[in-house]
Amino acid sequence: MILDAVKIALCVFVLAILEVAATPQLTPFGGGPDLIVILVVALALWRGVEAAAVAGFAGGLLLDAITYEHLGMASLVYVGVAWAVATLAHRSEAGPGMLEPPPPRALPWLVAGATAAQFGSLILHVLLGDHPAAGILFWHQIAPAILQTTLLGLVLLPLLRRIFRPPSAMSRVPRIATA
Amino acid sequence: MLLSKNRIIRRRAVVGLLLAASLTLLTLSFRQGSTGFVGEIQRNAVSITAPFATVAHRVTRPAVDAWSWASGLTSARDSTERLKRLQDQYGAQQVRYQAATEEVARLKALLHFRSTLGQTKSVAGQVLSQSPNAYQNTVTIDIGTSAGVAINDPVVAPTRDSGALIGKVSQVTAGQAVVTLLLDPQNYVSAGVQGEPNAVGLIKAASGQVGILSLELIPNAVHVAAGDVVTTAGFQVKRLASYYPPGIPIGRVTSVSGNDTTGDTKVIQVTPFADFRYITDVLVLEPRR
Repeated sequence: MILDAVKIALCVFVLAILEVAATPQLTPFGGGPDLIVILVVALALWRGVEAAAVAGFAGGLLLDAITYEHLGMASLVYVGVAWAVATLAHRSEAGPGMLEPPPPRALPWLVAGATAAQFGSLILHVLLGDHPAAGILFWHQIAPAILQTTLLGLVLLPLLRRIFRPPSAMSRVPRIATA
Repeated sequence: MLLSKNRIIRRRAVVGLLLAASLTLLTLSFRQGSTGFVGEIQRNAVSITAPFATVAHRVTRPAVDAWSWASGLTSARDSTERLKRLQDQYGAQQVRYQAATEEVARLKALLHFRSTLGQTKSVAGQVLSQSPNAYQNTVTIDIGTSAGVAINDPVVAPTRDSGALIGKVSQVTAGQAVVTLLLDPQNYVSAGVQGEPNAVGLIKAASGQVGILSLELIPNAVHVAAGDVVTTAGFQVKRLASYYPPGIPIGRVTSVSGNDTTGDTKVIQVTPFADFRYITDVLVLEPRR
Protein backbone atom coordinates (compact mmCIF):
# COMPACT_ATOMS: atom_id res chain seq x y z
CA MET A 1 0.00 0.00 0.00
CA ILE A 2 2.73 2.45 1.06
CA LEU A 3 4.98 1.25 -1.75
CA ASP A 4 2.14 1.84 -4.19
CA ALA A 5 1.63 5.37 -2.84
CA VAL A 6 5.34 6.15 -3.25
CA LYS A 7 5.32 4.76 -6.78
CA ILE A 8 2.25 6.80 -7.69
CA ALA A 9 3.72 9.99 -6.20
CA LEU A 10 6.98 9.51 -8.12
CA CYS A 11 5.15 8.78 -11.38
CA VAL A 12 2.94 11.85 -10.95
CA PHE A 13 5.94 14.10 -10.32
CA VAL A 14 8.07 12.76 -13.16
CA LEU A 15 5.23 12.74 -15.71
CA ALA A 16 4.10 16.27 -14.78
CA ILE A 17 7.64 17.61 -15.15
CA LEU A 18 8.05 15.85 -18.50
CA GLU A 19 4.67 17.12 -19.66
CA VAL A 20 5.64 20.78 -19.20
CA ALA A 21 9.40 20.69 -19.75
CA ALA A 22 9.97 18.14 -22.50
CA THR A 23 6.95 17.22 -24.59
CA PRO A 24 5.80 20.72 -25.73
CA GLN A 25 9.09 21.14 -27.61
CA LEU A 26 8.67 17.83 -29.41
CA THR A 27 5.16 18.50 -30.66
CA PRO A 28 5.26 21.15 -33.39
CA PHE A 29 1.60 20.71 -34.31
CA GLY A 30 0.32 21.84 -30.91
CA GLY A 31 -1.59 19.88 -28.31
CA GLY A 32 1.13 17.92 -26.58
CA PRO A 33 0.56 14.44 -25.17
CA ASP A 34 -1.26 14.22 -21.85
CA LEU A 35 1.04 12.06 -19.75
CA ILE A 36 -0.98 12.34 -16.55
CA VAL A 37 -4.07 10.90 -18.21
CA ILE A 38 -2.04 7.82 -19.21
CA LEU A 39 -1.18 7.25 -15.54
CA VAL A 40 -4.76 7.94 -14.43
CA VAL A 41 -6.21 5.44 -16.92
CA ALA A 42 -3.60 2.81 -16.03
CA LEU A 43 -4.35 3.17 -12.32
CA ALA A 44 -8.11 3.18 -12.91
CA LEU A 45 -7.78 -0.16 -14.70
CA TRP A 46 -5.21 -1.86 -12.49
CA ARG A 47 -5.49 -0.23 -9.07
CA GLY A 48 -9.07 1.02 -8.83
CA VAL A 49 -10.79 4.36 -8.70
CA GLU A 50 -9.28 5.62 -5.40
CA ALA A 51 -5.67 5.39 -6.55
CA ALA A 52 -6.52 6.81 -9.98
CA ALA A 53 -8.52 9.70 -8.55
CA VAL A 54 -5.80 10.62 -6.03
CA ALA A 55 -3.13 10.45 -8.76
CA GLY A 56 -5.31 12.53 -11.08
CA PHE A 57 -5.97 15.12 -8.38
CA ALA A 58 -2.27 15.41 -7.46
CA GLY A 59 -1.11 15.42 -11.08
CA GLY A 60 -3.66 18.03 -12.10
CA LEU A 61 -2.78 20.21 -9.14
CA LEU A 62 0.93 20.03 -9.96
CA LEU A 63 0.33 20.80 -13.65
CA ASP A 64 -1.92 23.76 -12.83
CA ALA A 65 0.57 25.08 -10.30
CA ILE A 66 3.58 24.82 -12.62
CA THR A 67 1.81 26.37 -15.60
CA TYR A 68 -0.03 29.08 -13.60
CA GLU A 69 -3.38 27.73 -14.80
CA HIS A 70 -6.38 28.14 -12.46
CA LEU A 71 -5.68 25.71 -9.61
CA GLY A 72 -8.11 22.79 -9.52
CA MET A 73 -9.04 22.86 -13.20
CA ALA A 74 -6.95 19.89 -14.40
CA SER A 75 -7.59 18.07 -11.10
CA LEU A 76 -11.33 18.24 -11.70
CA VAL A 77 -10.90 16.81 -15.19
CA TYR A 78 -8.55 14.00 -14.14
CA VAL A 79 -10.67 12.96 -11.13
CA GLY A 80 -13.66 12.80 -13.49
CA VAL A 81 -11.69 10.69 -15.97
CA ALA A 82 -10.50 8.37 -13.18
CA TRP A 83 -14.03 7.86 -11.95
CA ALA A 84 -15.50 7.34 -15.44
CA VAL A 85 -12.82 4.88 -16.61
CA ALA A 86 -12.80 2.87 -13.37
CA THR A 87 -16.58 2.68 -13.23
CA LEU A 88 -17.21 1.84 -16.87
CA ALA A 89 -14.26 -0.54 -17.29
CA HIS A 90 -15.15 -2.62 -14.23
CA ARG A 91 -18.87 -2.95 -14.80
CA SER A 92 -18.84 -6.74 -14.68
CA GLU A 93 -18.18 -8.14 -11.21
CA ALA A 94 -17.63 -11.74 -10.25
CA GLY A 95 -20.47 -13.50 -8.53
CA PRO A 96 -19.94 -15.76 -5.52
CA GLY A 97 -17.44 -18.51 -6.36
CA MET A 98 -16.66 -17.07 -9.80
CA LEU A 99 -13.25 -16.08 -11.15
CA GLU A 100 -12.80 -12.30 -11.22
CA PRO A 101 -12.73 -11.06 -14.84
CA PRO A 102 -9.26 -10.07 -16.14
CA PRO A 103 -8.42 -6.35 -16.28
CA PRO A 104 -9.74 -4.76 -19.50
CA ARG A 105 -7.42 -3.86 -22.40
CA ALA A 106 -5.73 -0.58 -21.61
CA LEU A 107 -5.33 1.11 -25.00
CA PRO A 108 -9.03 1.59 -25.91
CA TRP A 109 -9.62 2.97 -22.43
CA LEU A 110 -6.66 5.31 -22.84
CA VAL A 111 -8.16 6.69 -26.08
CA ALA A 112 -11.49 7.13 -24.29
CA GLY A 113 -9.80 8.71 -21.25
CA ALA A 114 -7.69 11.10 -23.35
CA THR A 115 -10.76 12.12 -25.36
CA ALA A 116 -12.77 12.66 -22.19
CA ALA A 117 -9.94 14.73 -20.67
CA GLN A 118 -9.66 16.95 -23.75
CA PHE A 119 -13.40 17.56 -24.02
CA GLY A 120 -13.72 17.94 -20.24
CA SER A 121 -11.04 20.59 -20.31
CA LEU A 122 -12.74 22.33 -23.23
CA ILE A 123 -16.10 22.36 -21.43
CA LEU A 124 -14.51 23.77 -18.27
CA HIS A 125 -12.75 26.52 -20.23
CA VAL A 126 -15.98 27.46 -22.00
CA LEU A 127 -17.91 27.44 -18.71
CA LEU A 128 -15.27 29.68 -17.16
CA GLY A 129 -15.54 32.28 -19.90
CA ASP A 130 -12.96 31.33 -22.55
CA HIS A 131 -14.23 31.50 -26.11
CA PRO A 132 -11.85 29.38 -28.16
CA ALA A 133 -12.48 28.96 -31.90
CA ALA A 134 -13.89 25.43 -32.14
CA GLY A 135 -12.25 24.41 -35.44
CA ILE A 136 -8.79 25.59 -34.51
CA LEU A 137 -9.03 24.08 -31.07
CA PHE A 138 -10.06 20.73 -32.50
CA TRP A 139 -7.24 20.53 -35.06
CA HIS A 140 -4.51 22.18 -33.00
CA GLN A 141 -5.26 20.94 -29.51
CA ILE A 142 -7.85 18.19 -29.11
CA ALA A 143 -7.09 15.89 -32.06
CA PRO A 144 -3.26 16.06 -31.85
CA ALA A 145 -3.36 15.67 -28.07
CA ILE A 146 -5.50 12.52 -28.28
CA LEU A 147 -3.32 11.09 -31.06
CA GLN A 148 -0.04 11.85 -29.31
CA THR A 149 -1.33 10.59 -25.97
CA THR A 150 -2.35 7.33 -27.62
CA LEU A 151 1.01 6.95 -29.38
CA LEU A 152 2.90 7.66 -26.19
CA GLY A 153 0.55 5.32 -24.37
CA LEU A 154 1.88 2.48 -26.53
CA VAL A 155 5.25 3.05 -24.87
CA LEU A 156 4.17 4.17 -21.41
CA LEU A 157 1.40 1.66 -20.69
CA PRO A 158 3.68 -1.43 -20.76
CA LEU A 159 6.10 0.47 -18.51
CA LEU A 160 3.33 1.41 -16.08
CA ARG A 161 2.06 -2.18 -16.28
CA ARG A 162 5.43 -3.34 -14.95
CA ILE A 163 5.30 -0.78 -12.15
CA PHE A 164 1.65 -1.33 -11.20
CA ARG A 165 1.35 -5.01 -12.11
CA PRO A 166 -2.34 -5.97 -12.44
CA PRO A 167 -3.57 -8.87 -10.29
CA SER A 168 -2.55 -12.27 -11.70
CA ALA A 169 -5.09 -14.95 -12.69
CA MET A 170 -4.31 -16.97 -9.56
CA SER A 171 -4.88 -14.05 -7.25
CA ARG A 172 -8.24 -13.55 -8.93
CA VAL A 173 -9.40 -16.97 -7.78
CA PRO A 174 -11.67 -16.42 -4.78
CA ARG A 175 -10.18 -17.78 -1.61
CA ILE A 176 -11.97 -20.74 -0.05
CA ALA A 177 -12.40 -20.31 3.64
CA THR A 178 -11.13 -23.28 5.54
CA ALA A 179 -12.31 -24.04 8.99
CA MET B 1 -22.00 -8.12 0.46
CA LEU B 2 -21.43 -5.70 3.35
CA LEU B 3 -17.76 -5.40 2.42
CA SER B 4 -18.67 -4.65 -1.17
CA LYS B 5 -21.15 -1.98 -0.04
CA ASN B 6 -18.53 -0.41 2.21
CA ARG B 7 -16.06 -0.35 -0.65
CA ILE B 8 -18.56 1.38 -2.90
CA ILE B 9 -19.26 3.98 -0.21
CA ARG B 10 -15.52 4.52 0.32
CA ARG B 11 -14.91 4.93 -3.42
CA ARG B 12 -17.70 7.44 -3.74
CA ALA B 13 -16.46 9.33 -0.68
CA VAL B 14 -12.90 9.57 -2.07
CA VAL B 15 -14.02 10.73 -5.50
CA GLY B 16 -16.55 13.14 -3.98
CA LEU B 17 -13.96 14.64 -1.64
CA LEU B 18 -11.44 15.08 -4.44
CA LEU B 19 -14.03 16.70 -6.72
CA ALA B 20 -15.07 19.02 -3.88
CA ALA B 21 -11.41 19.89 -3.21
CA SER B 22 -10.86 20.65 -6.92
CA LEU B 23 -13.92 22.90 -7.05
CA THR B 24 -12.86 24.71 -3.87
CA LEU B 25 -9.38 25.32 -5.28
CA LEU B 26 -10.86 26.50 -8.56
CA THR B 27 -13.13 28.96 -6.76
CA LEU B 28 -10.26 30.22 -4.59
CA SER B 29 -8.08 30.54 -7.66
CA PHE B 30 -10.67 32.71 -9.40
CA ARG B 31 -11.33 34.84 -6.33
CA GLN B 32 -7.73 35.44 -5.33
CA GLY B 33 -5.93 35.40 -8.69
CA SER B 34 -2.18 35.19 -8.31
CA THR B 35 -1.97 37.23 -5.12
CA GLY B 36 -3.23 35.14 -2.24
CA PHE B 37 -2.79 31.65 -0.90
CA VAL B 38 -3.30 30.05 -4.31
CA GLY B 39 -0.66 32.26 -5.92
CA GLU B 40 1.72 31.34 -3.11
CA ILE B 41 1.16 27.64 -3.83
CA GLN B 42 1.88 28.21 -7.52
CA ARG B 43 5.03 30.23 -6.87
CA ASN B 44 6.32 27.56 -4.48
CA ALA B 45 5.46 24.79 -6.95
CA VAL B 46 7.39 26.56 -9.71
CA SER B 47 10.37 27.10 -7.38
CA ILE B 48 10.40 23.45 -6.30
CA THR B 49 9.96 21.97 -9.76
CA ALA B 50 12.26 24.39 -11.60
CA PRO B 51 15.50 22.41 -11.00
CA PHE B 52 13.83 19.21 -12.21
CA ALA B 53 12.35 21.02 -15.20
CA THR B 54 15.82 22.35 -16.02
CA VAL B 55 17.26 18.84 -15.91
CA ALA B 56 14.41 17.46 -18.05
CA HIS B 57 14.86 20.33 -20.48
CA ARG B 58 18.61 19.74 -20.78
CA VAL B 59 18.29 15.97 -21.06
CA THR B 60 15.71 16.24 -23.84
CA ARG B 61 17.53 19.06 -25.63
CA PRO B 62 19.46 16.74 -28.01
CA ALA B 63 16.18 15.02 -28.92
CA VAL B 64 14.54 18.39 -29.52
CA ASP B 65 17.45 19.51 -31.68
CA ALA B 66 17.31 16.26 -33.62
CA TRP B 67 13.57 16.69 -34.00
CA SER B 68 13.82 20.27 -35.27
CA TRP B 69 16.57 19.12 -37.62
CA ALA B 70 14.35 16.31 -38.89
CA SER B 71 11.34 18.59 -39.32
CA GLY B 72 13.61 20.95 -41.27
CA LEU B 73 14.18 18.05 -43.64
CA THR B 74 10.53 17.88 -44.64
CA SER B 75 10.47 21.53 -45.65
CA ALA B 76 13.58 20.99 -47.77
CA ARG B 77 11.98 18.17 -49.74
CA ASP B 78 11.56 20.19 -52.94
CA SER B 79 15.18 21.25 -53.03
CA THR B 80 17.34 18.29 -54.10
CA GLU B 81 20.60 20.01 -53.40
CA ARG B 82 19.59 21.08 -49.96
CA LEU B 83 18.27 17.61 -49.21
CA LYS B 84 21.54 16.08 -50.34
CA ARG B 85 23.47 18.44 -48.12
CA LEU B 86 21.17 17.66 -45.20
CA GLN B 87 21.54 13.92 -45.81
CA ASP B 88 25.32 14.33 -45.76
CA GLN B 89 25.00 15.94 -42.40
CA TYR B 90 23.19 12.93 -41.05
CA GLY B 91 24.62 11.43 -37.89
CA ALA B 92 24.66 12.15 -34.22
CA GLN B 93 27.85 14.20 -34.34
CA GLN B 94 26.50 16.38 -37.09
CA VAL B 95 23.24 16.89 -35.23
CA ARG B 96 25.17 18.02 -32.17
CA TYR B 97 27.40 20.25 -34.26
CA GLN B 98 24.44 21.79 -36.02
CA ALA B 99 22.63 22.31 -32.73
CA ALA B 100 25.67 24.09 -31.34
CA THR B 101 25.97 26.22 -34.47
CA GLU B 102 22.31 27.15 -34.28
CA GLU B 103 22.69 28.06 -30.63
CA VAL B 104 25.69 30.27 -31.40
CA ALA B 105 23.72 31.94 -34.21
CA ARG B 106 20.78 32.51 -31.87
CA LEU B 107 22.99 33.96 -29.17
CA LYS B 108 24.86 36.11 -31.71
CA ALA B 109 21.54 37.44 -32.96
CA LEU B 110 20.52 38.13 -29.39
CA LEU B 111 23.82 39.92 -28.69
CA HIS B 112 23.43 41.95 -31.85
CA PHE B 113 19.91 42.86 -30.80
CA ARG B 114 21.16 43.79 -27.34
CA SER B 115 23.67 46.20 -28.87
CA THR B 116 20.82 47.99 -30.66
CA LEU B 117 18.90 48.62 -27.44
CA GLY B 118 20.89 51.69 -26.38
CA GLN B 119 20.03 52.72 -22.83
CA THR B 120 17.57 49.89 -22.21
CA LYS B 121 18.98 47.28 -19.84
CA SER B 122 18.42 43.62 -20.51
CA VAL B 123 19.04 40.23 -18.95
CA ALA B 124 19.36 36.91 -20.81
CA GLY B 125 17.61 33.67 -19.82
CA GLN B 126 16.57 30.27 -21.06
CA VAL B 127 13.16 28.68 -21.42
CA LEU B 128 12.48 26.05 -18.75
CA SER B 129 9.03 24.89 -19.70
CA GLN B 130 6.26 25.65 -22.10
CA SER B 131 2.51 25.51 -21.62
CA PRO B 132 1.41 22.08 -22.81
CA ASN B 133 -1.92 23.14 -24.29
CA ALA B 134 -3.51 25.68 -26.60
CA TYR B 135 -5.52 27.44 -23.89
CA GLN B 136 -2.44 29.03 -22.42
CA ASN B 137 0.29 30.74 -24.38
CA THR B 138 3.03 30.96 -21.80
CA VAL B 139 6.63 29.89 -21.28
CA THR B 140 8.54 29.73 -18.01
CA ILE B 141 12.09 31.11 -18.03
CA ASP B 142 14.97 30.52 -15.64
CA ILE B 143 15.44 34.11 -14.43
CA GLY B 144 13.36 36.03 -11.91
CA THR B 145 13.42 38.94 -9.50
CA SER B 146 16.95 38.06 -8.36
CA ALA B 147 18.12 38.85 -11.91
CA GLY B 148 16.10 42.07 -12.00
CA VAL B 149 13.06 40.72 -13.84
CA ALA B 150 9.72 42.35 -12.98
CA ILE B 151 6.12 41.90 -14.03
CA ASN B 152 5.27 43.46 -17.43
CA ASP B 153 8.89 43.50 -18.62
CA PRO B 154 8.98 42.93 -22.40
CA VAL B 155 10.62 39.70 -23.56
CA VAL B 156 12.52 39.24 -26.81
CA ALA B 157 13.69 36.07 -28.57
CA PRO B 158 16.43 35.73 -31.18
CA THR B 159 15.46 35.51 -34.83
CA ARG B 160 17.62 34.78 -37.88
CA ASP B 161 19.10 38.29 -38.04
CA SER B 162 18.30 40.01 -34.79
CA GLY B 163 15.58 39.70 -32.13
CA ALA B 164 11.82 40.01 -31.99
CA LEU B 165 9.23 40.66 -29.31
CA ILE B 166 7.57 37.49 -28.03
CA GLY B 167 5.56 38.76 -25.04
CA LYS B 168 5.79 40.13 -21.54
CA VAL B 169 6.44 38.82 -18.03
CA SER B 170 3.17 37.99 -16.30
CA GLN B 171 4.35 36.17 -13.15
CA VAL B 172 7.68 36.28 -11.41
CA THR B 173 9.42 34.52 -8.53
CA ALA B 174 12.99 34.87 -7.29
CA GLY B 175 14.42 32.42 -9.81
CA GLN B 176 11.79 32.05 -12.54
CA ALA B 177 9.32 34.08 -14.53
CA VAL B 178 6.29 33.24 -16.63
CA VAL B 179 6.10 34.98 -20.01
CA THR B 180 2.70 35.47 -21.64
CA LEU B 181 3.29 35.26 -25.38
CA LEU B 182 1.92 37.60 -28.04
CA LEU B 183 -0.27 34.69 -29.20
CA ASP B 184 -2.36 35.04 -26.03
CA PRO B 185 -5.67 36.74 -26.92
CA GLN B 186 -5.42 38.90 -23.77
CA ASN B 187 -2.06 40.37 -24.82
CA TYR B 188 -2.27 43.71 -26.67
CA VAL B 189 0.78 45.73 -27.73
CA SER B 190 0.85 49.19 -29.25
CA ALA B 191 2.61 48.75 -32.58
CA GLY B 192 3.29 50.60 -35.78
CA VAL B 193 4.49 50.05 -39.31
CA GLN B 194 8.13 50.99 -39.84
CA GLY B 195 8.54 54.10 -42.02
CA GLU B 196 4.86 55.05 -41.72
CA PRO B 197 4.48 57.33 -38.67
CA ASN B 198 0.68 57.43 -38.89
CA ALA B 199 0.30 53.67 -38.99
CA VAL B 200 0.07 53.09 -35.25
CA GLY B 201 -2.42 50.66 -33.75
CA LEU B 202 -2.71 47.64 -31.51
CA ILE B 203 -1.32 44.22 -32.32
CA LYS B 204 -2.83 41.04 -30.90
CA ALA B 205 -3.35 37.38 -31.75
CA ALA B 206 -5.48 37.03 -34.87
CA SER B 207 -8.74 35.33 -34.02
CA GLY B 208 -9.27 32.15 -36.00
CA GLN B 209 -5.65 31.67 -37.07
CA VAL B 210 -2.91 29.99 -35.11
CA GLY B 211 0.46 31.74 -34.96
CA ILE B 212 -0.70 34.85 -36.83
CA LEU B 213 -1.05 38.36 -35.37
CA SER B 214 -3.46 41.08 -36.33
CA LEU B 215 -2.64 44.79 -36.41
CA GLU B 216 -5.78 46.77 -35.69
CA LEU B 217 -7.01 50.36 -35.53
CA ILE B 218 -4.96 51.49 -38.57
CA PRO B 219 -7.06 54.06 -40.48
CA ASN B 220 -7.96 53.28 -44.09
CA ALA B 221 -6.20 56.40 -45.29
CA VAL B 222 -2.79 55.16 -44.13
CA HIS B 223 -0.78 53.23 -46.69
CA VAL B 224 0.36 49.79 -45.51
CA ALA B 225 1.58 47.07 -47.87
CA ALA B 226 2.48 43.40 -47.59
CA GLY B 227 6.14 43.08 -46.63
CA ASP B 228 6.17 46.12 -44.32
CA VAL B 229 7.85 45.56 -40.97
CA VAL B 230 5.83 46.00 -37.78
CA THR B 231 7.58 47.18 -34.61
CA THR B 232 6.52 48.29 -31.14
CA ALA B 233 5.24 51.88 -31.06
CA GLY B 234 6.19 52.67 -27.43
CA PHE B 235 4.13 55.69 -26.48
CA GLN B 236 4.50 58.13 -23.57
CA VAL B 237 1.64 60.40 -22.49
CA LYS B 238 2.71 62.49 -19.47
CA ARG B 239 3.54 59.89 -16.76
CA LEU B 240 1.81 57.05 -18.59
CA ALA B 241 4.27 55.12 -20.74
CA SER B 242 4.10 51.89 -22.71
CA TYR B 243 5.81 48.86 -21.18
CA TYR B 244 7.46 48.28 -24.55
CA PRO B 245 10.29 50.51 -25.79
CA PRO B 246 9.75 51.70 -29.37
CA GLY B 247 11.30 49.96 -32.36
CA ILE B 248 11.37 46.31 -31.24
CA PRO B 249 10.62 44.18 -34.32
CA ILE B 250 7.43 42.11 -34.08
CA GLY B 251 6.71 40.73 -37.54
CA ARG B 252 6.07 41.35 -41.22
CA VAL B 253 2.77 42.35 -42.83
CA THR B 254 1.51 39.43 -44.91
CA SER B 255 -1.84 40.74 -46.03
CA VAL B 256 -3.82 43.95 -45.94
CA SER B 257 -7.49 43.60 -46.66
CA GLY B 258 -10.15 46.28 -47.15
CA ASN B 259 -12.24 47.53 -44.32
CA ASP B 260 -13.14 45.95 -41.05
CA THR B 261 -16.75 45.87 -39.86
CA THR B 262 -16.69 49.52 -38.74
CA GLY B 263 -15.54 50.60 -42.20
CA ASP B 264 -12.90 52.99 -40.87
CA THR B 265 -9.85 50.83 -40.35
CA LYS B 266 -7.84 48.21 -42.22
CA VAL B 267 -7.55 44.52 -41.40
CA ILE B 268 -3.82 43.75 -41.37
CA GLN B 269 -2.32 40.31 -40.84
CA VAL B 270 1.18 40.06 -39.44
CA THR B 271 3.41 37.00 -39.39
CA PRO B 272 5.63 37.20 -36.30
CA PHE B 273 9.41 37.06 -36.76
CA ALA B 274 9.78 34.77 -33.75
CA ASP B 275 9.00 31.07 -34.07
CA PHE B 276 6.90 30.52 -30.96
CA ARG B 277 7.23 26.74 -31.19
CA TYR B 278 10.97 26.67 -30.61
CA ILE B 279 11.82 29.40 -28.13
CA THR B 280 14.90 28.44 -26.16
CA ASP B 281 16.77 31.67 -25.34
CA VAL B 282 15.21 34.98 -24.38
CA LEU B 283 16.19 38.50 -23.42
CA VAL B 284 14.11 40.29 -20.78
CA LEU B 285 14.20 44.06 -21.23
CA GLU B 286 14.11 46.38 -18.26
CA PRO B 287 12.96 49.61 -19.88
CA ARG B 288 12.10 51.46 -16.67
CA ARG B 289 15.11 50.68 -14.54
